[in-house]
Amino acid sequence: MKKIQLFTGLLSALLCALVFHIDAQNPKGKFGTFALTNATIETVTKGTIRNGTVVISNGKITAVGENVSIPQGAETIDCKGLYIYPGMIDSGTNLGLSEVGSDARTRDFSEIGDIIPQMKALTAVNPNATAIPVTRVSGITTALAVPSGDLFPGTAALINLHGYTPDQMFAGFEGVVMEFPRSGRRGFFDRRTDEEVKKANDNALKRLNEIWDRAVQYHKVDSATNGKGAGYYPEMQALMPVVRGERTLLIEVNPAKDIQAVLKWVKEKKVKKVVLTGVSEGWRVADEIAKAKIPVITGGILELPTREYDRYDQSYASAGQMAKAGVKVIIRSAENGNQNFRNLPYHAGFAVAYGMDKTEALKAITITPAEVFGVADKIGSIEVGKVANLFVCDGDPFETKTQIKNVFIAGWQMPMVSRQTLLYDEFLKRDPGVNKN
Amino acid sequence: MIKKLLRPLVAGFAFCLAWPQLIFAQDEKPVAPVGRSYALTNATIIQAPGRKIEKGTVVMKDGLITAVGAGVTVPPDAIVIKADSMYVYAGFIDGLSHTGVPKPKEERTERPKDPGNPPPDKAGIMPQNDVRNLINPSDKSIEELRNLGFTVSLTVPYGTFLPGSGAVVLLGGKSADDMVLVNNAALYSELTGTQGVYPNTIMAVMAKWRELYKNATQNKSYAASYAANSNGISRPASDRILEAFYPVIDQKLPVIFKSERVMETQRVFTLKNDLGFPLIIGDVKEGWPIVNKIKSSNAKVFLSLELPEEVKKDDKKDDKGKSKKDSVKTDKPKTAIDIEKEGLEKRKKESIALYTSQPSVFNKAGITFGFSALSAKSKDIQGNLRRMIAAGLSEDAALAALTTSPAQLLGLDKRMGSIDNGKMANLVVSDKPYFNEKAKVRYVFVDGNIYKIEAKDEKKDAKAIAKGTWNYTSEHPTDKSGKIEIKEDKGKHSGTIASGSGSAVELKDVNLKDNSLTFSFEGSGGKQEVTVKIDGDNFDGTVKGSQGSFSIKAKRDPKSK
Repeated sequence: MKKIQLFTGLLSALLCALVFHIDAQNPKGKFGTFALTNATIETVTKGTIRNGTVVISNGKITAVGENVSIPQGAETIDCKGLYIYPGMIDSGTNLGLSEVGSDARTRDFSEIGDIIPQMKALTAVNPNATAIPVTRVSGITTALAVPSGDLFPGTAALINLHGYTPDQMFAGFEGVVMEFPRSGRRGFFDRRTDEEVKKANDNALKRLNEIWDRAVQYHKVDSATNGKGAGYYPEMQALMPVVRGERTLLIEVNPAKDIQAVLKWVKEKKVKKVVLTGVSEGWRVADEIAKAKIPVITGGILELPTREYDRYDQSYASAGQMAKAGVKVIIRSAENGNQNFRNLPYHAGFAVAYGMDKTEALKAITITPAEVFGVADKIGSIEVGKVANLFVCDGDPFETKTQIKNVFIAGWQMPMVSRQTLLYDEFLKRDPGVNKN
Repeated sequence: MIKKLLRPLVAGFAFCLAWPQLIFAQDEKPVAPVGRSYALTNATIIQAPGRKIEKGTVVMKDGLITAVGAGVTVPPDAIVIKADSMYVYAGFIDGLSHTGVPKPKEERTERPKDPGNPPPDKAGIMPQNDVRNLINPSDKSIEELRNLGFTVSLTVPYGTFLPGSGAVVLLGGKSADDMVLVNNAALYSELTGTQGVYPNTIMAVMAKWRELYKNATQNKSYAASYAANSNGISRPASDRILEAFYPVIDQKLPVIFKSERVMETQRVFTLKNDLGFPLIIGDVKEGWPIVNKIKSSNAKVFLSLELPEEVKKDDKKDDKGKSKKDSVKTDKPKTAIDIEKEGLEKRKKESIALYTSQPSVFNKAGITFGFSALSAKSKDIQGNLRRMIAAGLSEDAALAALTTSPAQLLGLDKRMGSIDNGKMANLVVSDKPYFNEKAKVRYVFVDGNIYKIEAKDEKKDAKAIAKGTWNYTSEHPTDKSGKIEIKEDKGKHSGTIASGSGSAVELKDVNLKDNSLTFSFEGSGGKQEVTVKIDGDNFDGTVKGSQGSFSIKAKRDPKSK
């Protein structure tokens, strides 16, 4: 009996070692010079190139076009019948900030406290998060990691989905997040009276204004003294660039009434760089948003309507309605609960199916966010000189049947494996099988 | 589809995750100020009684006043508060109160086995207590007093006889230590005995006081001789109670007595004359009959900010009475009761006037005095000050009693009491001259920290509106609920009431004064009189009739206003 135990013990130890061994041998990314030939290239900014070539060298796109000379020593990848798109940007995730939803130790997106703009998502990003490879093998090369919580829950960071340290992943944009006080109830569980709801909202707005006034004061003192007079005050130091219009304020807001309140607030406080996020009822006040010339990051698109009496497809149509009204629309997946950020193209696809212009939708997950985040010179389209963030696929990426063949992030050819592909392979070839003998 | 099914589950899960945040959200941390450098510009600055600067600037940095004057330049790091048309005074100082000390809950304690010789704490003998251990920086009393312009308080523990030592505290700060300016500033005492145990009567309290003091004197000298040469002398016992008296015996620590009435004050003087300790009399309410005695005693004085209530109603009655009398004079001769009543009212008024004019009497007698908020309700303080001024105290003298005099009496005049360079940044800013009836305190600076006071009284001042449809509920046995419709036409009100079961009945004598609404109607149980107070879209009051008095509440349909 003991022998058997010993044997099984040894066996399991061996198996464990083997598993780790296999893990350790995960294919690495490959850096070098690549020529992707014979492909249909969707440059996004400069139209479609048929039968073209993209050359990637030293992390950048060095050539795009039909007649491109392939540099010596370049690894040629024949993309005949395939399409090349710029890497997609998901502008609303907690990618890298959360691992296991049920384990508080792995949830880094929500810190305790209501005024903590100095909490930088970039410092918390875990480059080894399992959701990162899952997302990138689906063609999403860049994501905005957004902290959430109370009034000022932190500073969001744009990250490329490859790297071993957060700094390696940083894609050049950070924005302070604000969750605008909700004027309505939080949900069916909210049993407060109308008066209590109003009072809570009034208090929250009062607090918001108080914080903003402080930030303005801090900026004034800092300016007047060339940075010497303002004391150590991390919260205000984090808000000061927003007051000065040097950093973007990402305001999460959803109900139509609150959106209007935000527009008024932004005007009153003269906030220069603002992006609205969420904006699920943006279609109700689309004209007002367009008039204010404030871009929106909307989504998830695959959601239920916000009000019971709305049409079943209202959430799918919202992005298109806003775009038609003249709003600069960015689409996010906001799949924070289930980490399925890889669904981003299908969110955009639904927006297209329910009225959004297809090119607009593609832009909404590529060049538009890059423009809004001020990194359009680096990412968001396939152009010479840009960072080589792109993917190769066999069809329209908005369709679920489309396979992603290759993904490049900052010139690194990504291994096309993730926890999900490994599990898929593992269970596709089960041994022993599950057939009943 | 699956997504839709999962949605409530996910929502539930997300809610569970968010729940702690909801709780935390309610407990918000106050926002710290950006810096401690402020400039109040373009204000009328009353530096001290009699010293005024028009359109001046006060600059503060790190809790100190760094510049005052008309042509002062504002330093670049200062947060500027435009105080145009506002009035700036030095922060007020309260000479005796329990500010910051939560009122202890009354507990029924077991009677000691030997009430004639109880343990000291049962007899209220705890002079070793330190008020610092009892202060709660978030106690409501701090904010209440601060909102009136007070910045510093001599606070003492609750209790009778010898509750402990007091401390001079700032009315703002995160912890008790943050607040304390002068620790062990005075030993607090009351000539009140503790119920059911010795010392209970005034003679016993005084006897015990003497006993403690003399024992302490003896113990102190014994301890001194032991310290000088301990050889062959038995060790003096440690005694915290008696040791608390040592600095008093050394004349380094004053005893502050709550000394409201004449008799009390005289008794305190007896103790002082017998024992010779430095004395402060606090919360003096009735000092005018012995004003000369107080002056010659050299005791420091804090007069109470509490005054007996004004007899406003009686005044009106008098007026009405007079006019009636004028016309009815010939008809009805005054009865003996009338004369007696009139006499009583007159005596009442005269007596109240004595209390109100006390500060002016003290001022005329040349006594330097401050005020104490020990027994005054904070909402009455501003009004009471105005009454004192109306009774002859000059505004300057009143301001002195709130600022320079208490600073001097507490030995803090180098640090506070006026708006001068180098003094603590304790200021009060009001929108009108402080003693003006309509003046509201807008900002208070305590140790250079700003406290903005919201003008929340404005709503209350606004006249209540009675017009509209009110849905009422009452404890009335028959008319439990229903509707009241009130209409308004050129300031005159009329209306109807309909109980749930009955038809509408006309309202009579509908009167609205400030926020109190009165009317009557013929209900099922005869004439019903209703008196309610309106607060926004709610009212609350009573309905009186032959069946008794019952509560009535109502809510207005806001659209019907």
